[in-house]
Amino acid sequence: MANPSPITYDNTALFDRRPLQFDPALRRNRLNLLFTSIAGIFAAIAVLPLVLVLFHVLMQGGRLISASLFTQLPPPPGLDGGGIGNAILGTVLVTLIASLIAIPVGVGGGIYLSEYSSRGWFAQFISFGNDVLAGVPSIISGVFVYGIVVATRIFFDQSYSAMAGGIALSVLMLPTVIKTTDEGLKLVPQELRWGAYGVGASKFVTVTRITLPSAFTPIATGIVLSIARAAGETAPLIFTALFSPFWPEGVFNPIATMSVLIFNFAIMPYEAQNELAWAASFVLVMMILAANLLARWIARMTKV
Amino acid sequence: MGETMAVTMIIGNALNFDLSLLAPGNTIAAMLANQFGEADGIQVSALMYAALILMLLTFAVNVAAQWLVRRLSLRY
Repeated sequence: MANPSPITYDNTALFDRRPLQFDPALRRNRLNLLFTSIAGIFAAIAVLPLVLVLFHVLMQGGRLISASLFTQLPPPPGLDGGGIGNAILGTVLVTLIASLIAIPVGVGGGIYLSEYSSRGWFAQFISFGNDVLAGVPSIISGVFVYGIVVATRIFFDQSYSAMAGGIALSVLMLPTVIKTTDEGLKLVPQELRWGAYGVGASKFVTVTRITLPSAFTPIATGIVLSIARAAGETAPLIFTALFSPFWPEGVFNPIATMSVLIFNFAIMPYEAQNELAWAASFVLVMMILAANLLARWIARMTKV
Repeated sequence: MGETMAVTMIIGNALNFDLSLLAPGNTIAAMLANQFGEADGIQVSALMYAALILMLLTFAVNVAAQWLVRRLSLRY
C-alpha cells in the first residue's frame, strides 16, 4: 500500500484469531459440501434424459442410415427395406409453409408491439394473448385447424392437406416469433432511434434501416428455434397433414412428415416399420440439433 | 399439461378410468391424438368439447402463472 493508514488497530480485540485456512471439518463447510453435491446430482439428473435419448436414438437409428433411406418410399406393411424420402421432403415442405406464414406475421406483430404501439390496452391485450397462445397445447392448434381448414374443405374441396399442416404449425410458431422479435427490438438502444429521427428519417425508414438490422441476431435466433420446434411437432399434424405413403403430390394433398411417420410406424407390429421409425427419429434429431447449433452460431456471430 | 405425443405412445389409452396409477390411463390430449383422425359426426363434436375443456384448463393455469409472476416480481 502506498499510503499506510496512520490508525493502528488492536488485532487481538477486533479479529477472531482462529487460523484462516479452509477447514473442512467445520459444520458450515460440511453442509456446504453436502448441498453442493445434492445440487450437482439434480443437475446431472436434469441432463440425463437428453444424454440417454441422444445415445439411444444414435444407437438404434444411426446403424440404419443408408442412401436408400433418403431416396425410397416406406414399404407396404410386411415388406422389408424402403426409406423415408417422402417424409423428409414432407417435413421440409410443411415447415416451409409454416415459416412462410409465421415469420412475416410474427415479425410484423413484434414490430407493432415494440415500435408502433404505445403499450396501451390493445398492445397489452396482444402480448397477453401471445403468452396464452404460447401455452396452448400443440394438439389444440391441430383441432383448431381441423375445424377451420380440414372440416370446411376450404382449399379446393381438399380435406387433409400439407397446407392445413403448415397452418397448424404456424400457429405454434407465431408466439415464439412475436415474443423474440418484441424482446429483440426492445434491446435496441433508444438513442439509435432518436439519432435516426434526428437526421430526418421517417418512422418506417427508422424501423427498416436502423432498428430491425440492429435486432437481427435475436430475431433470427428466435425464428430458427421456432422452426426447429415446429419441425419436430407431431400432434398438430396427425389430423391436418395426415400421412401418405407416397411422394408429396402437392400442397393441397395429404403429405407424409417425419414426426407423424415416427408416431405411426413406431406402434406398428412390423419390424421394418419400427426400424424406419428409429431411422426417422435419428434424422429428425440430427436436423433439430443442427438447427439449434445454427441458432447458437447466429447468436454468437454478430455480438453487439 | 397438454403435451401430447410422448404421453400418447405410452399411457395405454384406456377408455375407462382406473384409480390405480399403474393401470393404463388416458389424457385429453392423448385421446384427441388417437381418435380425431378416424372420428366423424357426434364423435368429432365430443372430441371438440374435450379440446375446449383442455383449452380452458391450460388457459386457467397460464393466467394463474402470469398473475403469480406479476405478484412476485413486484417485490424485487
